[in-house]
Amino acid sequence: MWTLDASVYVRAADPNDPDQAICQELIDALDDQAAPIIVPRLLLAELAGVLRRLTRDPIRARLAVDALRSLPQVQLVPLDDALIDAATELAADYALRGADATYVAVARRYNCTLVSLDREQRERATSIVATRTPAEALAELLPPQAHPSRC
Amino acid sequence: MNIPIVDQILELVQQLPHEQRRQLIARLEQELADERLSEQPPMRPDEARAAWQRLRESMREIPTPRLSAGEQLEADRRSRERTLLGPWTESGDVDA
Repeated sequence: MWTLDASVYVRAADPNDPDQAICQELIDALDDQAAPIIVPRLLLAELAGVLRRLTRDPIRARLAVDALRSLPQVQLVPLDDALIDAATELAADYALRGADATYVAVARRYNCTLVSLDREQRERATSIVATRTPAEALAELLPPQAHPSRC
Repeated sequence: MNIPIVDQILELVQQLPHEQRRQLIARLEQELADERLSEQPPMRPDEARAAWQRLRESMREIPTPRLSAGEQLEADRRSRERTLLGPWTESGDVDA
């Protein structure tokens, strides 16, 4: 099971982003394998905020969120008291940023591998959960010859 | 009771200060977005995948130069961190 940080989804959404291909390839591979992706609901707000600020289009931002939450393998974890408490402890103990700690708390609760392009988040979370870049995650999911984008 | 027509409403709106007109437009824009989405039935998985692809394609239309989505997210997160930490942002344990 996998937890994808917002850094993966927002990059996958933008063809102008240098990491778009690898992020989209990872999402497609997880989709093909029907691999569960477990993420905090916070992801929706982060995605909506970035798209709204980039496009100045609230409808486009909302449609993106609707699409994401309708993908069959994506499971959204509500920000309930228990999750916030867990994220709070992780933020305090590992100097994680608040949003980052929320993703790490979800990954720990559901024993997921955390995939992120945020180096600081990966480094601080590495003693708590398994962490991967999108390229590393793809390497685990696909045989080498099936993955042309990977260096 | 008479129902005001659009011209009458516009006349009233034009008497508002610039900032209040801006707020009004933002609010109407938000309400229209809410209405449009509430009319949509839930997406099936194949529709969701197609919608995601359409979004990606539509992002090509945004004028450049601009931040990429990843840069925008990073800038937003860093900006919030700076707001929270203030003068401590550049010191201590934050940027290990």
